[in-house]
Amino acid sequence: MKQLLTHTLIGAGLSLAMLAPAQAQNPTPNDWLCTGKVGGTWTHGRAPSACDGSAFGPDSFVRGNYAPLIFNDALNGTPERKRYMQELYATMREATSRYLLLRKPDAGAEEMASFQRGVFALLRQESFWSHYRDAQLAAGQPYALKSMRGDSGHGHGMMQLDDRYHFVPVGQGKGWNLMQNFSYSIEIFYDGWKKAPVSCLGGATSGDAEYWRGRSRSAWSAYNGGPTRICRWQNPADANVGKDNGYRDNYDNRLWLTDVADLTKATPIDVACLMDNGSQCPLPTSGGLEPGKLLKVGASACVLVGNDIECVDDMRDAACLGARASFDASQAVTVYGYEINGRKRIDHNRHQLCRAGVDGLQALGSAIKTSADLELRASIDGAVTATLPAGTYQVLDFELRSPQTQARYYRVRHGAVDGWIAAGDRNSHAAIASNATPLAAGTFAYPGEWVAVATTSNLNRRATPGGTLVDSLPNGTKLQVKELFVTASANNLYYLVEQNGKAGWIFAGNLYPASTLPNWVVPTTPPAVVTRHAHCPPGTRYDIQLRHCASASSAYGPFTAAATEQCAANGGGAACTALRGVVVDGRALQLQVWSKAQAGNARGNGDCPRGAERSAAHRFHCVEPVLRNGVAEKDVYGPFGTTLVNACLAGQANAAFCLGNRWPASAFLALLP
Amino acid sequence: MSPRKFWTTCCLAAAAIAATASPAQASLVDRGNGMIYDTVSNLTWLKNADSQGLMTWDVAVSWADQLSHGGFSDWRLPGVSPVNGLSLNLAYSEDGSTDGGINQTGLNSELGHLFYTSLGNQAATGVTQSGPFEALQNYVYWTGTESPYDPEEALHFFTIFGEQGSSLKVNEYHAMAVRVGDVPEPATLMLLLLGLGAVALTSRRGKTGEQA
Repeated sequence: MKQLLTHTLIGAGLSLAMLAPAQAQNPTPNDWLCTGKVGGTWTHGRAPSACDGSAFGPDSFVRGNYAPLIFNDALNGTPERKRYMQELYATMREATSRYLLLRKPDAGAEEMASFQRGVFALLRQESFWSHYRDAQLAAGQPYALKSMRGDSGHGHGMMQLDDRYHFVPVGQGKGWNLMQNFSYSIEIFYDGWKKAPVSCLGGATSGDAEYWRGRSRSAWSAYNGGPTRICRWQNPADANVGKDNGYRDNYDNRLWLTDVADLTKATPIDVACLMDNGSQCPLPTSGGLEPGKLLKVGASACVLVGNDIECVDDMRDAACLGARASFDASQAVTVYGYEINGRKRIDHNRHQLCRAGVDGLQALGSAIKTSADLELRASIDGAVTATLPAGTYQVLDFELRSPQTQARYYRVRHGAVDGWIAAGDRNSHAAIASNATPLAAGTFAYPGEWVAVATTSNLNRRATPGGTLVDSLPNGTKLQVKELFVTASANNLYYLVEQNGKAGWIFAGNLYPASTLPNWVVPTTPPAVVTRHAHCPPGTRYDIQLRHCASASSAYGPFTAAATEQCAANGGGAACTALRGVVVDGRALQLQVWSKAQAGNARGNGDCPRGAERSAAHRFHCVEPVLRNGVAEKDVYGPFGTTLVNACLAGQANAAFCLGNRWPASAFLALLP
Repeated sequence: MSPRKFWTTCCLAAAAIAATASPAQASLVDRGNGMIYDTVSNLTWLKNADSQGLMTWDVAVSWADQLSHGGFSDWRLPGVSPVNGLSLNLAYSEDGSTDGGINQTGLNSELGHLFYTSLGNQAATGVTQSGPFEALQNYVYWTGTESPYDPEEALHFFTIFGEQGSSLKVNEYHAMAVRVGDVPEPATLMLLLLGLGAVALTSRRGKTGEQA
């Protein structure tokens, strides 16, 4: 929509923005203030382009005021589309009615119905009724709030307010705020509706259906092409005839109705307030933002940590926040985003936060050994469905229930039965379930196992999980899993894979609430020529809980400097730094070798070993900054696959470190393709 | 060969043997027939320190158990007994106070004693002294002692680092065979026999000389 608004609406009860006089086109760049751009489909609510809305206003405002009008991609499908359209239709029906009655109190029923129909057709023509959407930037990424953007990013929202012609209003949020988007833009449509000259109504007279149809078509031509093009729709030779005919078809066929079941249902939002007051509309009442409380912000669980607010993306992981602050977990206080806008917000990955703060909590995908038969329940609080015999199982999910006791639960699979076990608390967990070496293939791949691409289209391989694209892999490609990384409450699973000498991360599906893994990759047999995901001593394997090579009883270094210090602080004595003889690939090396318990205590329970963090600059490996001989260096931790190890041995004069789990960062970076 | 020449040869040979053994290796006596006797530990070792190449622990144990050499069938892998006399402690030490680490020079570690005490090697330099042994590898050897901590592991001795510890049994290391006690020494026997023969010959010659 390009037309400049040349007058200010002063309607009873309406307080629309003061609009600028006619102005020249603003040379706004394509995708101005468009971050986190996502695609979509030409279906109701999911137009093919949307960007983060937060550049124009707080997500919290949207979630607080427009929650029912957010299309949820996570529920993508017909039911969600129909739900969304039902709510938005009710809202637009009320909004158009309210607008017209304010603008023209004597508008008759026939005009009202025709005006509404004309607006509904506009919504269909401009944006497929798309405005707010929770969408993923890429498969496996968290769902984030997006606002519809069309026309190379210039068109904002369901009414497609164009920032090249309405730059100031768009900057004021009139593209982003749904009801302001409507209130501002409907003025332009109404202007055309009001001014449609008899000359372009094809001779239709008032009261005739064709007359109202003509006014709608005129209003839309002006809306789309500017006030001078109000009769454009009558010219079959006009370059925009396709658009005009498209609007006509929408108007004639009322295609939006296919997704609306109840034409009389009430709107779920406060239309009047949001139309009249815009961003000044009162926000929902909060439970109070106070330290020591568990805060519910949208779907997230949060706590105050000093002046910051720290969150996990789902309330089920609230207990994990106990590592960040003390709080009363018995009741969650709802807080709206506007209350925390001035604070720094830190969103934690549950798989890092929960592990780091909970001693002995086993990583998703790792193997645990249970020491006795346990009850297997359908859900944590559900009925017992089976007895889980003592044995070794893969962790498919975890939950922590109390920040104080750290009572923990694991989801495991026993035969065809999937369920949850209670795995003790901070005092008892070690005697119930502990880290183990896998004895058989898991429900999904352990490092070293092979998978094949199962997606019909190519599967993207990226430098980091969800990061820069490296290449894409066709269906059926065999890949060895070197490592895995998991994000978010949906347990989005990423595999580090190596193929054709290149390493990168692929998305492998999510595990919660239901597994989508088979849609992405499936287990397969190794190819004839097998490379190794990690070069470990014989009989050991790379352990994703420890992120070191390990046997049933021992873990093999080198360990991080911080872990080594912690080992000493734990009373580990000379063994902490002692270099023990170890053979890797037939070569005698000297490495730290600790008992698994000693390693577990010293390395901490974080995603990376103590002192190290994931580094995007190092292909998402764990990296520890160290000071060696007064020089600041970085150590990169494995696993390093055969391709890298061979390149290292060739390029580093057969250096012993090439066969270890720790490389100098400079050597690692030099070897990356 | 004249008796004088014989004795000269014998004496030179004995001197040559004595000259090749360093003071640390004085306890190691080549008994011939591919066997080395350690007079301090009272152990006899197979002279060829790598007759079978690399083996997993199970294979190495089986090989030693089934070995028949020099008329003996009581061969085994070298063992480790607790330095404290009670139980194995594989914690790392550098003074031999535990059963793990370096400088396991005592008789409780048969390989350690051989490496450090009998052969005179050092942890920092690995195998520099092989003594009378053939093909002593600067790598890692199995002991016959299982780990007290993990049934999947057994004790090893890294000759390259002089380090005793434990490894998973699936590793492939070298193995030496050893047995308790001495063995008859062919050379000694031969010298004895020759000596007796010489005495007899001298005695007889004296008599005949008188006759001549």
